[in-house]
Amino acid sequence: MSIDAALLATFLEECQEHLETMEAAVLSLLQGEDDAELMNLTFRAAHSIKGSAATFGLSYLADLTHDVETFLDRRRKGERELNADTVDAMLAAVDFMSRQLSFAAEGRDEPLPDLANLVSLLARLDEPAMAPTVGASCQTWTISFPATGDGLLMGEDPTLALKALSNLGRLDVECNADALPTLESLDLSHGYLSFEATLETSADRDAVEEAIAWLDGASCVAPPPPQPAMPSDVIIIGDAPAMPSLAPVSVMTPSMSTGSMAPNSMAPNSMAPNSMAPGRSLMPSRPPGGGSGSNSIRVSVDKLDALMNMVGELVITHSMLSDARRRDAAVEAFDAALERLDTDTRALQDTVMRIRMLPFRHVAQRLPRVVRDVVKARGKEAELVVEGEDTELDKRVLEGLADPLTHIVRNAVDHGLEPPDERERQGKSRCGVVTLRARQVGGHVDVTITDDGRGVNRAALLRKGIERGIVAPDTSKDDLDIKAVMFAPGLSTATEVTGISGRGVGMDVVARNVEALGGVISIDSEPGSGTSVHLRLPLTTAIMEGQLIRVGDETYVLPLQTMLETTSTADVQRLPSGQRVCTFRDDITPVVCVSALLGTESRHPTPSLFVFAESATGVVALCVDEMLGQQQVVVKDLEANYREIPGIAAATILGNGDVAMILDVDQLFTMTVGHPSLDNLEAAE
Amino acid sequence: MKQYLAFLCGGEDFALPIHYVVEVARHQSAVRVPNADPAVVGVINLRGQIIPIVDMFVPLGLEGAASGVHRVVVFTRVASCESEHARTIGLLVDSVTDVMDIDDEQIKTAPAGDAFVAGMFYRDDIAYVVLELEYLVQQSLTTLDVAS
Repeated sequence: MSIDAALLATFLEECQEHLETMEAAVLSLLQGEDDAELMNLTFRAAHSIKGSAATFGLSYLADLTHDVETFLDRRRKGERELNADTVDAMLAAVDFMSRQLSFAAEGRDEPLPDLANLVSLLARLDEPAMAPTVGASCQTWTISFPATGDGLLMGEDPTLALKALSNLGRLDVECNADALPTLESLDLSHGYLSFEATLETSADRDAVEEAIAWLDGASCVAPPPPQPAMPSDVIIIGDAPAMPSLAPVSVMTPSMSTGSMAPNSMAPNSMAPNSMAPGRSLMPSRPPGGGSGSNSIRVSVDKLDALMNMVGELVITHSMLSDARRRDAAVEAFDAALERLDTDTRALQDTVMRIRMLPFRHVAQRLPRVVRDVVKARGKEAELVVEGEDTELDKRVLEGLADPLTHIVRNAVDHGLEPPDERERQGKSRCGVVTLRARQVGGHVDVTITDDGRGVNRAALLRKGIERGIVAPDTSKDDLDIKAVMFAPGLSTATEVTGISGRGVGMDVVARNVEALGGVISIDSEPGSGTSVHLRLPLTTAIMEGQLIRVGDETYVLPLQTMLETTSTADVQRLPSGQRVCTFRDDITPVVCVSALLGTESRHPTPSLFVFAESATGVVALCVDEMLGQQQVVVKDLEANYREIPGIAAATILGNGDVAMILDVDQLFTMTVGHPSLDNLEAAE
Repeated sequence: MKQYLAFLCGGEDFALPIHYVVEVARHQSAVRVPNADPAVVGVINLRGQIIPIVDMFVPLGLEGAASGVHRVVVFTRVASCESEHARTIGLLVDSVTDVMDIDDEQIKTAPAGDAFVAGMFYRDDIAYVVLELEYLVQQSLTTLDVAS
């Protein structure tokens, strides 16, 4: 990697962090937190991006950020009002910047195709029009609304048209109140006022016409090619009514457009936040600049110093050992050195692990945005409560957690929470609560996502389960194993496919992602009072607790967290399909003969040991030859230099330096179920 | 002028451009990988990395048994098309014979194209087959041998 490329990578990562900061701050703004500080934070982040973008010659990103920065600065200084529209625009701006950044990451210094949409949005909200850097040239339109009486009764209120026009650009309105009668003879349902409006806009004719079209009898004349407004280019709106006595002055300045009115000049795609665009709806938008998140990590100098110190200790220990060897020293000298080595190595491992750890906040901070998007799109009311943000997890685990968490939270809001009215009818508060809780329990981190919604629809799930042959047709609603159906591929009980969820690709992917991290997922649901999804995750994927097992002459490692129970006697039944099963805690579980699957020769004619292990699809009984010790194993990627091997999750190096394969219980299960003939328990009979 | 590492496998002489070679080591036992490709005898731990060992007898289509106990592993860095980074792969051969400088003009195109043959050259009346390592590795590591 050249110096430039290395610098650029650092820059991209920093920008990503700044964007995350901006998004988090903007979302906090929405919740009405301390405006001034948050605005400063947002502004500073944008400012940093602009500075570095310019340094790297990324002119479009720099220009875009400059516009955003100006926009933010006006609000930071209180020159412009901060309202719902503005905050929406800020979010849209963050999305645009993020996309422009991914352009930069791909080495494309070119503007986004829909950049003009954002520029005009910002300009529109930013009164004495911030000069749009990209976009159509401005035209000045003159529109007059003659006063006509009774149309007002028909709902033809010109102030609405004026509001819509004010969303298109800079609007100046003059009100003519000459026709206003005296107070005594005033008819409130009659329109007396006429308006003369001058609109400076980059919007096209269609947009202008659309804003006034619903006023009966509207007609237009094209504006002159350049400017300024000529009296001859007047749009006459036939019998548009004028306002009665109460002409609201608030429409006079476009900057005061309120949140209640959807701006209509924006192309639809520019309003839709990135994460909700179809096709990207299943999983959240990944940080731009490369597949699976950033590959570097920021380390405090303190941690590095501690590392250096420990490496120094190792060097000393090494010389102690070689010195002892040279002097032909007594065993005690070796023992002392070894003990030192042991302490140092552990401390080193611990310190390196700490470097890989990041607070849970890292992934939790993107969730308020997810909730907000769903809430907006689906007319829900929801609050997200996050607890245990400081719980530390391995960077890789955190990164792998982002997609599943987003999905679960989105599901909770979209499917879990009832619409506000329905909640009210059930005596719940209109606003649903989704709680996200992370805490460390021993060598694990437990993450629980709880909603107080309607709970899993057991009837619908049962129907789906039977339809797809996952559960027996005579299963009752109460006996249904929610998890088994829920995590089956391609299931959705949502009757309606929305852009947000319900596409039927979901919980199974979530479950697989969580298990790929070495985690376990479970789900509880109480009809009417909510659902909670539990994730138990390892602190790190780099090290795990393993059970060593012997199969034939080979040693394998079974992840300890998947193990439930071991027995030497099990009543194995053979199904007509050839699949073997046995009972475990009153359930039928498939029997997986490890030696057959892995192609080793079991030394025992009859299976001697059954290990019940939990897989994504349920419990399986693994038959193995012998249980060896338990130990912490360092997980080594098999794919880095080789490739993925069915049934094998990774490799590790045992205490004696030998390589051993770590088994993938899920895959062993699918391999057996797919090929019952693989089962060599034949010999047992 | 390029440097080549020459090695013997199944009584035949082969050569590899030396820039692929990371190190050469005596072959210790490798741990079998279940359901692996036929060419992969197993994996070993090379300073904390898990490295697959490819027995060159298989991809080279050589007959007969390997020459027994004194085999060596040539560790190579090979670019792969699936992942962006290069992989380290151990090639199990009978013995490493020489490192030599060969002019590019001396490399002859092999008559009938075996895809893994990059060319040939003669030195001291011995014909050396220069291997197309990327192709060879691709072939020996990607034939999925799903448990059968």
